[in-house]
Amino acid sequence: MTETRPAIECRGLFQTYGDTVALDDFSLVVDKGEVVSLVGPSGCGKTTALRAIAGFEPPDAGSVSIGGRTVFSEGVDVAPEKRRVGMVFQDYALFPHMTVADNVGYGVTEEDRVERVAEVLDLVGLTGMDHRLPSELSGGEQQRVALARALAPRPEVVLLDEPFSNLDAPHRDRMRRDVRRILRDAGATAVFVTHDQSEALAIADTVAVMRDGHVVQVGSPLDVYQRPTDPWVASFLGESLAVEGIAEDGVVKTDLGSFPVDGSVEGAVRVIIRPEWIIATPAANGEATVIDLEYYGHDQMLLLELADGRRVQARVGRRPVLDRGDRVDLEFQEAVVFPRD
Amino acid sequence: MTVQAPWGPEPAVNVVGVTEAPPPQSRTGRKAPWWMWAGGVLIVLPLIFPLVFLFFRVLGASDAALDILFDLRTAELALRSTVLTALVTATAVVVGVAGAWVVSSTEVPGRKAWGVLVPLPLVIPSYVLALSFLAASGPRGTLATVTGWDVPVLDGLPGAWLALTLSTFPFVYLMVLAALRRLDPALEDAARGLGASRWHSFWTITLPQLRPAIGAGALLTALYTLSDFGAVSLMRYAAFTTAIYAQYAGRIDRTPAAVLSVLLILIALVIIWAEQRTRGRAAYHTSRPARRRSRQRLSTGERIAALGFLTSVVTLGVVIPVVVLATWAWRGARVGETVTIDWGAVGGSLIGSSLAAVLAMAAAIPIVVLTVRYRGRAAGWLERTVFVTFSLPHITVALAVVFFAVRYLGPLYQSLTLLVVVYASIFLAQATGATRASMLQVNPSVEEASRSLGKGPLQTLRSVTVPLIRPGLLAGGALVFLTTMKELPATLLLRPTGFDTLAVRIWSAANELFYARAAASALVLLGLSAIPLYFLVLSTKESPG
Repeated sequence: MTETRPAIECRGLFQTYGDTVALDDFSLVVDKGEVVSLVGPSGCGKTTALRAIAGFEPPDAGSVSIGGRTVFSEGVDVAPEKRRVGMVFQDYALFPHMTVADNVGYGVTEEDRVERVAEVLDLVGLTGMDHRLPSELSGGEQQRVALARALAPRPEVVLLDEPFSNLDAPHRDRMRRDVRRILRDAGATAVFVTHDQSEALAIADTVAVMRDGHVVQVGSPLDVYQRPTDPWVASFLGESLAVEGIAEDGVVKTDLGSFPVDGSVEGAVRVIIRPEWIIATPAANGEATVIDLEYYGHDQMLLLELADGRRVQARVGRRPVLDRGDRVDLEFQEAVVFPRD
Repeated sequence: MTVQAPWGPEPAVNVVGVTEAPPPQSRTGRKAPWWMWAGGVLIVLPLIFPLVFLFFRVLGASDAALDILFDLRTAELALRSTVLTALVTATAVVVGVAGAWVVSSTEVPGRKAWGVLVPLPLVIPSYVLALSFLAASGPRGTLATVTGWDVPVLDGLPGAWLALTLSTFPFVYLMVLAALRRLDPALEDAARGLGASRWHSFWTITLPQLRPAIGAGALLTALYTLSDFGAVSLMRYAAFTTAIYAQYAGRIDRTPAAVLSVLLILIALVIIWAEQRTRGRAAYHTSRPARRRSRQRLSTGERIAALGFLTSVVTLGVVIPVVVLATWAWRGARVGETVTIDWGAVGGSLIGSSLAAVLAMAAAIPIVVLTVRYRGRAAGWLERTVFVTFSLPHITVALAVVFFAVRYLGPLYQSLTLLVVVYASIFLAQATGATRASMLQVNPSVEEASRSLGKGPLQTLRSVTVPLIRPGLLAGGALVFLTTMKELPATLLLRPTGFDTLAVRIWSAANELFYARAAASALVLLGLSAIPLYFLVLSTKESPG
């Protein structure tokens, strides 16, 4: 069996701008055919990492290889045009003076151009738009052209920088699904950067969570959401409630109640609970009072106040039907426990 | 028609090279390819070497030659140049600000037409204005022949003052107009709402906000006046530039000309420096997208005053020159004076100007890409050199090139090649200014997209960047063409033997009092100026991508 080389391998990238550290020991490995989302708060260095892979900004130190070929390391710095990386920019960056066909065919060799352009336009569902100018396209169409243009030269990897941030909400959801399908159909390896955690979870096979210039956790969407490596990742990826507790003999005691925990954890812990892990049952003398509620149709979010004045958010189904001032009893289905220093 | 300031559609804040931080565009961590730097530096070298050489030549001059520095005559020249510059700047500011305010902020009848007419003198060279006033006044002049009055000659200080005020006030006018349009009208409305009178709110609210624009316009005016050679020489007003030319043309030892040139350059640098000092603290940027300004209603008296003012400006700056020139040309033709069009000079003007325009456009590309995309200290210096050279008196730059060429360039001296290179480098700032405005609108990620699609920097430049900055390049080229056609002193000093331009023809004919012949050439020059103006109008309509 031949060993398959990773499509992208970044090792120990460092990048500073004056006093700001954009990349601080950034490492990431992406397998062939994998769709990875790189997610983190703004300013964490995601875009810098993407630009380092694409070759627009050589980092200060570290190494990058693409398809098994070293494109950056000490003494090596392959120019962007020789990296075989397709890039989809946040603002699409279509060539405004060229037609759709010319845009898409820009990176393809002369002899393959006509055929490949037709093929890729078909893939993104824009057949027949060849002669339009970018200014005559809707935002979603421009997005597809940008993707088609990046895919046309059959790059080793496709990098997408906040690709959906310029679309309004209904279009965004649809484009997200379409882009996922197109990348699958093309068999492409892709990394896309986003600051939107729900987008990161929804689109990718693998999520890489970034903070302060490096990746803090890599895993499947389910993994990183359910089993975050630290409280910061937990709260970054979704709403959460943090409570302090003591773990002893497989049980954590907190002032919200006790939970079972696997026996490896002992001593002071921090417990993270997500709103949807809470079950609220109406009870005449319940431990919490409904302060406020947001009703979404498919579910609802309760803002609850405990006896000691602390506030807790709980995401519950369409039922129970509650009102402000109602009292409920709380039960915790799941929790993640971290040792506390 | 849109008449633009000669440095291009960008606000002239950049005219003298203080680069205000452009929008945060360039994130490009990569260095510019070596050939772009090579290109940029090569383009700037013809500007730097001669000037440096000029300074060294003066430093190495004999004491006898340096005596001119302490000559009483030199002090007098300095005084005369300063007086003229001060007078012209003051009147240009008054006329320019008043004109811009009336046209943009009042309901004067025919507002749109005035907006086009008022800045028109900009396209008439100062020596043509001077020629027309000389030809209109005096005992032989048009006014005397038509009315039979005894009209004194309008020359010397008053003549130079009038001609130069008319050719420079459009700088102030255009800048203040642009600033007025950017101004937040709510401020003035607020002042009025607080009970300030119209005058009071103009003085206390509007005028202070116009200060940067007025300063920039005044700077251009002062530099232009200080550098002007054609108008002062025709008006027989001895100033620095005419003295330099006399020393150059009339002496075997040209060192005194070099000494005077260095002095003039230093005065120009002081003016630039002073303007930057006063601007340093000003930060009045209210650039909200212009809401419609409410225009001032005018009483009947005010309306007559405003109309009278605009009419006299346009009459003096456009109507009189054109009518007088036409009368003289016609009268000359009737009495059989040789007023035939000199095709040699027309050809010379067209060839010189179009080559200069093409060269300046080509040179603008690397400079603009370097300064916009790869901002850094070196690129900043490159840009500053281009702008300072543009601001220096052309006669001094040309003289520096003469010295340098005689010594080091051998066969290139008095060649068309050298002349075109000097034209292009003197006016390069106009091409880069206009191109820069286009370049700032080009999204850098478009270029990155091209790179990641497998195209190298040169191919990206050719197939993406240049097509996108084409409108700015064309506008810049048209401006260079226009100003090169009008250029006089550099042409006089550097033209190859037998090479003539309309500017030279007009000046030498007028200098020898052949007004009819000069008038015919001047009319041809004005007619030819319509070509670049047409391109400028075209380029303002065509917006990039």
